[in-house]
Amino acid sequence: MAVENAFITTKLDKLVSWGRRSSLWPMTFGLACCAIEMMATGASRFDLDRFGIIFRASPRHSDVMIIAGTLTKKMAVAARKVYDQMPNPKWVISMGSCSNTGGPYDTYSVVQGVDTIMPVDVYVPGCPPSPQGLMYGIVQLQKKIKEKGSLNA
Amino acid sequence: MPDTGNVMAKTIEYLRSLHPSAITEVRRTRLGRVRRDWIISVKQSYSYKVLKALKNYPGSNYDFLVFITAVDTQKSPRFKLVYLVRSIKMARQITVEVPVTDESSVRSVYDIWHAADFDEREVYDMYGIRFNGHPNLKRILMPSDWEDFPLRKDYPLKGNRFSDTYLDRKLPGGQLKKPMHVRMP
Amino acid sequence: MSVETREMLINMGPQHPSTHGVLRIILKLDGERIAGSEPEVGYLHRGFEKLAENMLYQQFIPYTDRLDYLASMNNNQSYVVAVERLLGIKAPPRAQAIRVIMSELGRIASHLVWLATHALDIGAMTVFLYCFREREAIIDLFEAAAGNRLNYNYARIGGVAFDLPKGFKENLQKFLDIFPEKLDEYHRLLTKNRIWLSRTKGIGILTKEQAINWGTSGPVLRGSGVEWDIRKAFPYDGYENYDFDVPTNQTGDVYGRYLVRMEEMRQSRRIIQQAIEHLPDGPVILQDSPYVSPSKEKIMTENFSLMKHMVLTIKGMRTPVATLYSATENPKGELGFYIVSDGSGKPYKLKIRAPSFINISAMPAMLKGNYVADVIAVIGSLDFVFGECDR
Repeated sequence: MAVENAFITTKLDKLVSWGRRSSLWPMTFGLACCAIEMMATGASRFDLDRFGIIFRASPRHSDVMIIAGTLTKKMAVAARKVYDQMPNPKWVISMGSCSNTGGPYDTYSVVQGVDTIMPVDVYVPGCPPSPQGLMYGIVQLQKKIKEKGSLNA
Repeated sequence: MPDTGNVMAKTIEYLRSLHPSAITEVRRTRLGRVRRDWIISVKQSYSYKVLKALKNYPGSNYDFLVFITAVDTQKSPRFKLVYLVRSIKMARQITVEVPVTDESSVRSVYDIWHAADFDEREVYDMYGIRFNGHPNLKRILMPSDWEDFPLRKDYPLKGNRFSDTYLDRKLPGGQLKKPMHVRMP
Repeated sequence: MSVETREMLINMGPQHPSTHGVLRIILKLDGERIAGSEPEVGYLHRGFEKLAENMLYQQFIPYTDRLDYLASMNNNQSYVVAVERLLGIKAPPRAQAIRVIMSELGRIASHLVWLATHALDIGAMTVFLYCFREREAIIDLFEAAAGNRLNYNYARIGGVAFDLPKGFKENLQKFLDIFPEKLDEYHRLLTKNRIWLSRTKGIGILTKEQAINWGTSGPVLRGSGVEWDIRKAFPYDGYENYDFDVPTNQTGDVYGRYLVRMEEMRQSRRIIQQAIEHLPDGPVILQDSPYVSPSKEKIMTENFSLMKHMVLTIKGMRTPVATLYSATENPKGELGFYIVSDGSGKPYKLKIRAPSFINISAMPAMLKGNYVADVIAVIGSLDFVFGECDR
């Protein structure tokens, strides 16, 4: 339901968006090699804690899901269940070629892109994406949250 | 790997003395000047007995099973099972090939080497060969309700109609987009 | 009033912070004790073996990186050594030494990630950050030599892709100089720590006969007292020229495997020191072999080299009709390739004998009788990676 863009609600919208994008809590969904680069991004050289990011293990605590690695058809059922358990507002970052489009594996058991089963907000290319690339992707997501606003759902 | 002639020849003599008609072929691969593997072909009805004799061979019992796999030869007999067993004490290994003439009566070697557990399940999952006597013969790499056997030569690489529509049946709401080779064949 | 008890089934699902990838374990519990367990794998099955039947031998090298993605250099070397044995050729001495250096650095890098995640799961968070700091130093070396931080695609059939860059030897020497004191730092933090000892000593025991019967390899086998290392038994790439020890431990528990891996890191450093001191000169890839493409200068100027390169890349090599098994010692265990070749440039069948696949099947034997909280310690000590387990 659209809220009237009066002065107070715009400022409130900006405040809520600032809160949401500055403390994104991702859920650990590392599947394959990209998970190692995600761990390296969270370690000491390329720190992710300065963005307000804390990795949570439970989908009920998190608001963004970073799919890092190849999604197979056997795993897709579990991934979809986990995505459905996340509370709104939720975003999805697809990290690496395998989750963008299936990567180099065009075979019978690999899902050709994670957007086959869930809507994706940011695609980060690379095999694996370097930590700088992943951080750029997270910053793009933050920009998207800022521009879209939070009250006009 | 140094020349294994003496030890391996003795092993094969021992096996021949126990089961005279089991071994149909003995060969050594010689590639360049570097590798010399010993390979014996065994008839399917004797496969369990020969492998058990190898495990219990006095002096250098072949106690380590390295892998089990199958090859789809596209000739008759269609499948060929390959076992590689190794003796850790003597650092020698021997390959046993078993042409599968009767797919429903292959005997599992789980009670000889427990290492056969996952490998035989994978051969069943990928080629469809059933092993009698295996404690837990289910699919291991593919989902349990998958149909057909992926590593056979007549299975296409990108999957058939079953695999393209698999997620439509399993997910609530189905897939949001179809794979590329279905949209643009 | 009588209370009935029944065994409970618990699912440690494929999405779990401590299962090191996508592993599903179904635990049958009798109170807090484990009565039985069943691991379920296959959540990362990407179809490597079927892919290999459809592409040339040279084209498969980048896929071998993604098998055990923590030690990509070792996988590359393993596959390339297997194909070289099939063709009956040997890489030049400089290339062999470079491959040994990269593999041993990969072994250290892989064991650092093992230590980081194992300690993190058991509760020691500092070790995670320290290990990743050392790993970043190794990754800088790899990035300078091969171009990528992970999945390097560095080895080629007949040698390696590029020579060592300028400044590599100095940076490597700097790393080798500081590494022993870092190893001692990890030992000070963990080895005599009361909490570490009580969580790892006597847990997950695998006896010697069990270890051989279940087909385990690598540190899991050596942690149970079996002295078996492929670098000593079936040497490859000049390993017979280096002087190193193979650590074993007689107890077969989680603590024993921890000690084995820590000592292996020290021995790897010893091998790299010897290799870099006696690095021979010469080409890094075979120059005049029918299986290797000529150098770029020759391709651009000579007609024959251009045609040879075209045939090798489009139609592939002419291989002997044979079957071959070749194994190398990876950080996780014995990685082997069983190649069935029909004479064309594509393998007829390629079977990847993955150490993690076989090691995981030994897990139920290790878990019986332990508590639920020990499952995490045992998983950490087995050190498996799903890229190679599920292929």
